[in-house]
Amino acid sequence: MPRYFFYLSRNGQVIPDPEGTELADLSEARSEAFLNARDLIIQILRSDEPLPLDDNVQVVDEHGSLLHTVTFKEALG
Amino acid sequence: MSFPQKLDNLLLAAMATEDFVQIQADLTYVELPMRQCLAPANAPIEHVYFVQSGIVSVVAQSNEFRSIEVGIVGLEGFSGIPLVLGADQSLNQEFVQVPGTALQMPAQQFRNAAERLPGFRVVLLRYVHAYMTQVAQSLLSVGADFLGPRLARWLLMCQDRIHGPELPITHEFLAMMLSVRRPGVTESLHILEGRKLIKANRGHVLILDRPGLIKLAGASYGVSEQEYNRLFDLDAARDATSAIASTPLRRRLNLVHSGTTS
Repeated sequence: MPRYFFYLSRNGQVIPDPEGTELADLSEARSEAFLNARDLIIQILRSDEPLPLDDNVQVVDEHGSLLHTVTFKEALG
Repeated sequence: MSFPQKLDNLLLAAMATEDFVQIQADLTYVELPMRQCLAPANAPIEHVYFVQSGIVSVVAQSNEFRSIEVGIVGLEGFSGIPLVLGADQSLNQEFVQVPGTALQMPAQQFRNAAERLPGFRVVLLRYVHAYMTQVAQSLLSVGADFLGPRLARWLLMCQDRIHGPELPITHEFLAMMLSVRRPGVTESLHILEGRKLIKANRGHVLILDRPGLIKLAGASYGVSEQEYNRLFDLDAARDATSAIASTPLRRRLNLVHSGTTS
């Protein structure tokens, strides 16, 4: 199974994912990114930090290519 | 493996010598390899392990997607608590999270000794109380704290139980321990790194600034550690013959690295 990496774009900074997760395909990786974004939103709201709606979770492949992006705004939908 | 020269396990060290000699023959010195299951969920517990080094995780799980760490055990305790409470198994699973060593004791001999030796039983039950305090404080932290302080607390608790500043822990594992998805851990580690409290490498977290982590953890860290020390300091005061009276303070929980940066 391919390994997908979930980078975070937060407050103008990209935080790489050093480990990645093995998933069946891109469709699963997109679902995972959506759930990851929603979980991050929960943590951010609980911490009383601002929630920048353009911040996002990026799906990146093993070569570092960006495959998909889920913004917090999309994840809230 | 041969018997260790010194008892790093604080409970065994806290026992009166006359009690310890009665159980010594039933203790076997064993390695605790990474991920070894010491007590499976829903199956009889065959041995208890008095941890000498390394960390054991107690995990509650209802299916493969719902699990959370409920407690950790290191040199301050033993795995297999249900046995001292009259149960033979648990819904929780206990497994090795940081490799180390332990003194292993068969369940039957353990139960007999706890029955026969009131001094041994008191030490065990007092630890159960301390452990329950830790679990309660963890629950409080899950309910009341956001992820940053929870992560800081967890890293501090791990460091209390290992030698040195480096924790062999992956993000994936931390996510399971804290019951969040992995990016939450990635972001929190990144924030802690930005404050120069830790350095996170793939598969390792290096503690750089312990006092800084304690500050971040705030009220979530220290309460159960103090309770443990209080319980076992009382022991030492009452029973001058117990081995813990001569145990160097720095070896006790929460005093192992306090005030140091490494």
